Amino acid sequence: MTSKKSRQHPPRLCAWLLGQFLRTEDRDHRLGDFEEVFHYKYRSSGRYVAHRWYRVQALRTLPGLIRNSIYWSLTMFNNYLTIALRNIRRHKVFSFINITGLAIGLAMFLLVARYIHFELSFDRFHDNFERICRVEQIIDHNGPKEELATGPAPLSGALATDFPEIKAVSRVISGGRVTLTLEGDQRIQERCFLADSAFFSIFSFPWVKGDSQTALDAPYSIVLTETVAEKVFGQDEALGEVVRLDDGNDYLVTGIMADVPDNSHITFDLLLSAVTISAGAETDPFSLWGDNWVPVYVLLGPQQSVSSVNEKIRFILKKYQGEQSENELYLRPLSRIHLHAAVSHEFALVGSVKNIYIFSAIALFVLVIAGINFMNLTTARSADRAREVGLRKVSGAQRSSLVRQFLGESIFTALVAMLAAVVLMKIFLPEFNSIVNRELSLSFTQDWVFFAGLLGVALLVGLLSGIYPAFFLSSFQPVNVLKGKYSSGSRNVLLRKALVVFQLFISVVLISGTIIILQQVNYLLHKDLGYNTDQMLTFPSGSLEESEYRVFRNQIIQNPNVIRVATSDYMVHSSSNWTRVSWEGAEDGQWIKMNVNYIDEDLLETYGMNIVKGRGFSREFGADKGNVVILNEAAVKEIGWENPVGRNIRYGRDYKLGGLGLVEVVGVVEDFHFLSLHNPVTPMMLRLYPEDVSGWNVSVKISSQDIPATNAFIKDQFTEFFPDSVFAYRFLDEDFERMYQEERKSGKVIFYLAVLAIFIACLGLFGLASFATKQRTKEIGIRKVMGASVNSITWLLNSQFLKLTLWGCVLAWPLSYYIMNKWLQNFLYRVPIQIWVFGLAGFAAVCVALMTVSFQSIRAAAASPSESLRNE
Amino acid sequence: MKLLSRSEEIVLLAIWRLQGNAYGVSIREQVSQATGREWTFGAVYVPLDKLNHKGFVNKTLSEPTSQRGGRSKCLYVLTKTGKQALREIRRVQETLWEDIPKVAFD
Repeated sequence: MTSKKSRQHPPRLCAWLLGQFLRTEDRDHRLGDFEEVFHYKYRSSGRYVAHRWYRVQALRTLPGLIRNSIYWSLTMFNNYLTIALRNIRRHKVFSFINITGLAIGLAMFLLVARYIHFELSFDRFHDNFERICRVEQIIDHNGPKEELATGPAPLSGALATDFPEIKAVSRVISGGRVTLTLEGDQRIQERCFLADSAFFSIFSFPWVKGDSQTALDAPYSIVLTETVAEKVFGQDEALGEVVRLDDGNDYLVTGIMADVPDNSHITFDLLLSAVTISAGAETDPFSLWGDNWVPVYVLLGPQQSVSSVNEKIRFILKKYQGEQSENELYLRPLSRIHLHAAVSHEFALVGSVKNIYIFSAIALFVLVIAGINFMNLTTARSADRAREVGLRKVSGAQRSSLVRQFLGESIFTALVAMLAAVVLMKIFLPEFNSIVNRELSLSFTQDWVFFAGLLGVALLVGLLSGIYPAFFLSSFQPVNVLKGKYSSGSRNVLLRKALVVFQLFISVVLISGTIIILQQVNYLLHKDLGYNTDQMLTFPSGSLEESEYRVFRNQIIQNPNVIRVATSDYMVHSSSNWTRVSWEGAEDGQWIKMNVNYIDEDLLETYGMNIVKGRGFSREFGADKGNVVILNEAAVKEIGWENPVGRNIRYGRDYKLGGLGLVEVVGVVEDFHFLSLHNPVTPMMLRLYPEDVSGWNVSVKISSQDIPATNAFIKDQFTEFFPDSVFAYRFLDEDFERMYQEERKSGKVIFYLAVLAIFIACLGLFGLASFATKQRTKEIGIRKVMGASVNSITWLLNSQFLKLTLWGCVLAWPLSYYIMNKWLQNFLYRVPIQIWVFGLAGFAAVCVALMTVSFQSIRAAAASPSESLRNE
Repeated sequence: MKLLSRSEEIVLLAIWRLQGNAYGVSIREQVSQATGREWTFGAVYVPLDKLNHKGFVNKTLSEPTSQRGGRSKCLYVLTKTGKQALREIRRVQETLWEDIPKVAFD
């Protein structure tokens, strides 16, 4: 009996499907229509026919029903849209605050997202991204170890022959900038690297013309990027032509490749064949295992894992450098270079993974603050909308449709904010690019994925910040609200207060963080380095004979605004050459690692460095040439000499002269920072040039008067002496700014984000304050009638917000202390955290908050009570 | 007044003819018979909803019956404006038809 009855039911799936597309009010009787005919057919023609009829009917009816339900929901949507627009228009200030806050938050979030996306995309365009590694080295300095981006000179050949796991090996040596002379004597400087042909099997830089397999096989071969090829040859065929570089050699163009993408860690405009270096030299520079200056990249075989190959190559240097060698090799995958590499001799364009974390955290915070604003203002306005909700409910609106309406409204607002955010982004992109020092772009056609993501974020923000108000608003009882018995409820007020405290909390953390970061960057830039950096003009001198340099020097020193001229191999602030040093009286095999730089007689004075013992170099001492040395205090301390002057030190192969050296210490220089402040001051020695050698870099101390004219003068002289070179001068203090650019970058970005966070938080405060005063209009009126003064009422209104602000401060202080302390730990030389910073941050937050709130409360307090009490 | 669409007109006429017994099943039968082709329920409901929205018909729900799986029946009745709309469309059609024979037989 039961089974028969159940068989009389129409097919469940079809019935359920039909029900989905019928409106609730019509669902029952329309399904009834179907069922009536179904039963009729069942009785007259049997089960089979009836079921078939039902299915076919359902299927044929569905399209019409679907179209119908879309039509009706659109009609309802139209109504919601009208109401949403009407609300935006009616409450202009509220809507403006809402949309502006959200738009700014979104725009900043998106800019940072764009930056992070770009940073993470580095090198990923290579097809073999996962299998490309750089071979790096851990050098053992008898205890202290140093990681180098470079390997021993002959390494690439050994790797290629000994390891079948490695598919391709190429040396990739930075050649700095080279100068090309164009027609009409115009000169251009281009970034240059030297590599082997395998470079193109390892990396997938797009190839344009020529044979990439052999392009860099022969000495004096050059591969140009398209831009350079066009600069040099215009529309003419470049392949097979000859280019002359400023080293005086002619290079045969063997290939043309596409320009290097911005997100490549190796950045170059042209490539020379690495074998060119061997061709010009008497002894092959790639022959000595003790020379660690060659970066090597490898492509692993398809099945090889980095760790297994790592194990195999780790100790191979014992085979080539002798059993006593403690040096190790390891592979650094391409994915770990741009953001993670912190090794010596790094030539890559490096970013900072720390910045990525900091930026994304803050951008997210700003977005959250904006979202909170949105939530706060919408719930605060609930009184205004209570009547509407009541009326809609009375007219038969379900709670779900009200939720949908309010969610729709907040999503709509978020979408409007998104449009504004895109405009803001377009406006701020150049500024942002200059802060983060990248070339980010934004084009609708190329980055559709990004814009789809943007749409997703906007929808998500709209949804998340709309959920609470939607459920809150739709919960009103029509009976109560229509009678006017509406109160916002203490739970709701508490939540709003908590949200405001949270906003101010983040603002204070950001302000104090910004101050400390700026303090630290300022400290790095202005710390006493042990030498003077003001008005110091520096430029590379190219390969210059000593006699030529002397003439050049005598020429420019004629100018009264040129105070001193000196030359050195490495710049005083980036001396990166190291050697092993032993000394008179050292035990057998005892040595220390020392930085070494060659300077001339004028350098110490030009930079104002202090000699603490002995003397500096001087032309008066003829014997000074070649066999005297000045140590820094750190070196003397490490050796342990009481009286170093007159003693001898011995060091390994001299990087400039070759051979072993035994030299006399003539003086001790006060410690100065020969590397960035990320490095400690370690032992160093300064060598004096031998008779006929001169330096790679020239430093000119000029007076502060008429700097451009002095500059132009030096440039003229330079061009006369080096007609093939470009006068690439830099001021030393600019160099320092560049040295700390990652810190400056984070300081600036955080500064802007902090300002925006505060601005958005203030928008929220402003909105809340205006709402709160409006709600208390009658109370204020009565208080005034009873004799309260404007001041006391203003204070009454302000004090509640003041309390919230103070709460925010109190919560923010410990957290920001903790975070900033952690951040400062990254620096060897750092500022102490001063308590007043937190006071200042809190004070700033309180001031801004009070100003914002007072604007509303004073107006409310000053209003005449007759106005507020008139309508009852 | 906006003119009725053809399907709305047919459904509205069917409801008028059914005189108080107009609901989904009977309307569908009526229009299927009159037009000589099978109408799906969907094809009936779409114009019905529009007619209701425009205020040409009123809905009343009857008691549920077992014959309909325990579901109620929704009866449709023409309103005054519904009747007006039908007269209006008829007038339009007749005006247009008037001159056709002369033209057609020329």
